[in-house]
Order: sequence, then structure tokens, then C-alpha cells
Amino acid sequence: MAKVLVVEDNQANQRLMSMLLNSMGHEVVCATTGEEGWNQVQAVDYDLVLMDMYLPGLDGFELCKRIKAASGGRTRVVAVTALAMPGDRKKVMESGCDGYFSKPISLSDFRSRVQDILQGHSDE
Amino acid sequence: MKMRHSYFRSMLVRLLLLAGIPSLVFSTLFILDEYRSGEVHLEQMSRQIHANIVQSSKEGFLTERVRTYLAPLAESALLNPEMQGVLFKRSDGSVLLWQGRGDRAVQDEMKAFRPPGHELVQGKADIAGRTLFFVSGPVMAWRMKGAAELFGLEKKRSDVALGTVTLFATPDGLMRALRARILQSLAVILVFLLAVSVVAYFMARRITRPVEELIEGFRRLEKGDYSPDLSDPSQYELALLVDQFKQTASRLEALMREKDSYSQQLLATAQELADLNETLEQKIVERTQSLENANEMLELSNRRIQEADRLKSEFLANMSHELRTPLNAVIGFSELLLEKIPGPVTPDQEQCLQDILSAGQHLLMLINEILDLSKVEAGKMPLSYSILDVGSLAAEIQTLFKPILEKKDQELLVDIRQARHKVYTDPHKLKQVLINLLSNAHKFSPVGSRIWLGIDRRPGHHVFSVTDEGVGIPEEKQKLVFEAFRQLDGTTSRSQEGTGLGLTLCQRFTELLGGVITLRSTVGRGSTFTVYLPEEPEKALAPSDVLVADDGKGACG
Repeated sequence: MAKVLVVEDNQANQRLMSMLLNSMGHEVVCATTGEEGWNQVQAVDYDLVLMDMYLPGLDGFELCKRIKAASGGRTRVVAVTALAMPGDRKKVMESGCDGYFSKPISLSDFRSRVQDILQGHSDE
Repeated sequence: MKMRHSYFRSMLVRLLLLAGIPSLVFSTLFILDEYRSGEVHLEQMSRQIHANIVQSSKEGFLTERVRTYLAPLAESALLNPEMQGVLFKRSDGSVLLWQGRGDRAVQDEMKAFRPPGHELVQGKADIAGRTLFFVSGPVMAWRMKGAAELFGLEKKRSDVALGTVTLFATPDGLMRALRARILQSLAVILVFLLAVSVVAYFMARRITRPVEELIEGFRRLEKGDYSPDLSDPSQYELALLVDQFKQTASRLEALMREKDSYSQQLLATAQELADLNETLEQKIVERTQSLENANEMLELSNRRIQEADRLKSEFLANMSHELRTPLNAVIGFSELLLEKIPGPVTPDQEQCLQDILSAGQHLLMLINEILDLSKVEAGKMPLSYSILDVGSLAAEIQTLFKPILEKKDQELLVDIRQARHKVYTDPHKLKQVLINLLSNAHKFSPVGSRIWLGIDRRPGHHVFSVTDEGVGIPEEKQKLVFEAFRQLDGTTSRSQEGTGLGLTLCQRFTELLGGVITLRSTVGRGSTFTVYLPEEPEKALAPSDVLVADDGKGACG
């Protein structure tokens, strides 16, 4: 069981992630904005942060950098984003993320790769 | 420089010389002659007077009664103004009587004159700087005879001479007359020469006037007056000259007029040339301007195209992003519910969830195909070539399609004609094309039908064909199937669902790989799509290459 923070401004997707991760047996906390997510990360020690990259205010790229800096790289950060154009994956990974999922996600793929990342394997 | 004199002057000099020299010579000769005869006359007269005195002076010598006899003789002789003095000398040489006039010193010298002898002598003597004529002769004692007899007697020296009589005469009168005559002659000559000069002047004028007029004419010619007023000279040669001048002047005038008109033309031409030049420059400027404008327009439209391109890419990215976000929920929840994680679902609900899921996946495919198509059309679709083994490709496809085909009880028959057939291409793109074609075959074929995948090799190219036993495509619509969003019917049944972009992408990918895609179909019997790929990717195929090569059998069973 891991502590997972989901930073996602779309309510439906927030709920989907939440249900999915719960079904996988993880503890999930949701945040709707980057600032909210940042506050959460500062308050609680999370194992994994799943985040959309386009967020109102503080965006995913900046948030990822802050989290990585604050946790000394220990907290895993995975992007779950609708940015799916060529080059987007590279851009996301370069910002420091440990994994990249393009929306729409495939449940089986998501489950297996999230487990891998939580076990310390880097994504691809 | 040689001195030049006017015609008048040289003519005057010549005429004066011609007239003056003979006049002077003749006058001189004439005057000299007159002088000579004057002298002769003076001598004769002196001799006459002397003879008279000698004849009458014997008494005076003998008696020495000078006053009585000799003085009257001398006085009468001196009545003649030319006579200067009479000298009576005794035979011993002493002066008996001197009777003279004029300057005392001259008189003294005359008085001292020594006659040369006892004979009659006549001559000139230099007396006190003056040349005087003298006649000197003896007075004989024995008788008084005539002059001729006296000369005869003189030969007898024994005769007794009483003394001598000497008479002095001056040529002064003669000289005066001479001088007057010279002056006279000179005056006459002078008048004559003056007359000659006047004549010469008028004669010269007859020549020089026309010449001067000609000179003036030339001067005016130089100033552009081609018809100077020239009088006709009377001399033939001058008349010819003037005529010639007039002709030349009029010729010159004609020439000058011609030259002027040429100059005019030349100026006009030069002006025209300058105008043309200006027009040309103007045109060049205009043309340059319009070119620049066109260039600017081109740049502008280029920028617009680039901007449109950028906007299109941006739009596609946004569209992709905005569609994926809700699709994530649609697909994710469908899967979640189908996995019954939130709770159990009824079979009807499960069917609904399945439909939602495939609709979501269909939308996702559509998005991906649109993005692919726009990438191909923007020339930004990357290709990655490698050697593909046909056998493993077929196996992969079969594995992939097995569960799908089973749903419609369809069968995929793979026919590989060449053993160990390998293709150098972009495997991912080729696979995408074949999957697309097979998906279509699956969709448009009835339950329980067969689908063939034929793979062959011909000289220069590889052949991949997908044949089905489906509805077939009418001939008039066969060319439209490769166009985007074209399907056979406006109404699409659930079983014939497609994105409408699949075949378009197949064609684009095949072309990207240097190949050609063709379709043969019969309505009601089925269709065959054939993909031809070149053996060497850089040697792209043309439709004509494969239509000839295709013998119609294909891989169709």
C-alpha cells in the first residue's frame, strides 16, 4: 500500500484515478490545483504523485520540479496527461517525471506500470 | 614674316618708278644739255667781248692813257652782268688797269691772276673758291687785226706783245637759270607723278574694291550671312571670282542648312533617346517596385501560410488535448465498470458499457488517424527503415487478428509465395497499412467469410494483397475510397463502422514508402486491395509500373 496524491483539475478524471488506485489498494488524496498539490506534498510524505501537466496556476512541470527538489528525488512523480503530440513525452520526462501516461489511459497498462514505478523501476 | 603690301601700294610704287625714272632721266639730260649750251654761249660771248677789248686797247697800252682808252672799254664790258672783271697787264706782268666788281677778296685774286702766256687762252679758273670763266690774250704792238689773223700771227713768236687782257666771267647766272630749270622740271615731274598716283589709285581701286568686298563677304559668310551684297566687278577674272564666291556661298548655305537640319535631327534623336532612357528608368523603377511589392506580398502570404500552418498544428494539438481529457473518463470508467470494480452490472448494462468503450476507442483512433494524416500531409511523418521478415510479420498479424476474427467466425488465410521473403521498409507503417486493410475486410465481410493475405515478390517490387468476400465496391466509387471521410454509403451500419480515414492513411503511408495501392472489386463478390512496395525504397514506383506487372491473378484464392 502506498500513499498517492492525484493532482487533476478534471473532476471525472480525478474520480477515475481515485477509484482505480483504491482498487489497486493504495491510499489516495486528490488535489485540484498545482498550489493545492504543492501544499499537500509539503504537509504529507507521499510515495507517488500522479499529475496532469496542464493545471490552473502552478503547472505540472513546475510542480514536478518542486516536488523532486523538496523530496530529494524520493517521491515518485508520474504524469497523466492529455499532452500526446510527438515530443510531449520527451518534454514531460525532461521535467523530472518518473513516468508518462497519455490520456486516455488503458487500465491494464496503467496498473502494471504504476506497480513497476512504485517498486522503484523507472518507466521505460 | 614676309612683308605684304597692299595692291594699291605696290602698284603705286611700280607706276611711280615707271613714270618717275624716265622723267627724271630725260629732265636731267635736257637740263645738262641746256647747261652745256649756256656755257658755250657764255664762252662765245666772253671771247667776243675779249676780242673787242683787245682790238680797242692797243692805243691804251701804247699811250698808257688808261682813263682815256682802257677804262671805257672795261666799263662797257662790265655792262654785261656776267662779266666780273677786266684785267689789263703790261708785258712785264704789272697791272695796268683792273676794273671789276663783287667781293674785294675775289677781285684781289682776279687782279693777281697770271695769264698762262702770250697766246689766247680760254678756261676755267678757281678764284677764291669760285669757278670763273676767263679769256686771256695778248695785245700785239704792230698792228691791229681781226681775231682770225691774230691767231695766225701768234705763231710768230717774234712779234711784240704790248701786254695782256684778261676777262673774267661768272657762270652764276647760268647756274641760277639752271636751278630754276631744275625746280621747274621737278615741279612738272611732281605734278605728273601726282596724276600718275591718282590714276594708279583708281586703277587699283578697280581691283581692290571687289577684293575688299569679297573679303567682307567672307567675313559675313563666317558670321552666317550667305548672301552678302556684292557689286559686279567689270574685270572678267574678278567677275568669275565673285560668281564663284556666290556659288560657293550658296552651296555653303545649303550645306549649313543641311547640317543644321541634321543637327536638329540629332538633337531630336538625342532628346528622344534621353526620353526613352528616362522612360526605361521609370519602367525599371516601376517594375522593381512592383517586384518588390510582389515580393512583399509573397513574404506576407508566406508568413500567413506559416502562421496558418502554425495555427493548424496548434489547433490539432489543442483538439487532441481537449478530446483526450474527456475520452480518458469515458474509456477509463467503461473499463472500470466492465471490470466490475465498483460493483456488479447486469448483462444489458455490460453491453451498454461495451458500446461506450468501443465508441470511445473509435474516437481515439479517429484522433490518432487525423494526427497521422496531418503529419503525412505536412511532410513531418518520420520513417524508420529496417529489414522486415515477411513470415514473422504474417505471424504477428495472425496473432493480433485471431480474437477479432473469431467474433464473426471469419478465417484469415495467409499465402506467402516466396520462402525467406524479406522486405526493406518501415515495418511499423507497413504493419499499420495491412492491419487497416484487414480491419476493413473484417468489418465489411459477412460472418463466416474468408479473408486472404497474400504476399509475393515480383521483379522490382513486393506485393501485399488483402482480399475479402464482402459487399464489394461499385466501380464508379472505387476511386473515391482513398479520399478522406468517404464511405460507400452516407448511412453507416454498426457493422461497417470505420473512421473514414483508414484507406486514406493506407494510401498515404504506401506512397510514403514509395509504393502504390490499388483496388479491384466486384459488387457482391468481394474486394482486393493490393499494396506494391519498391525493392529499393529510393526507387519509388509509379502506378504504370504495377498495373502492367499485375497479371490479374494476384494472391486472390
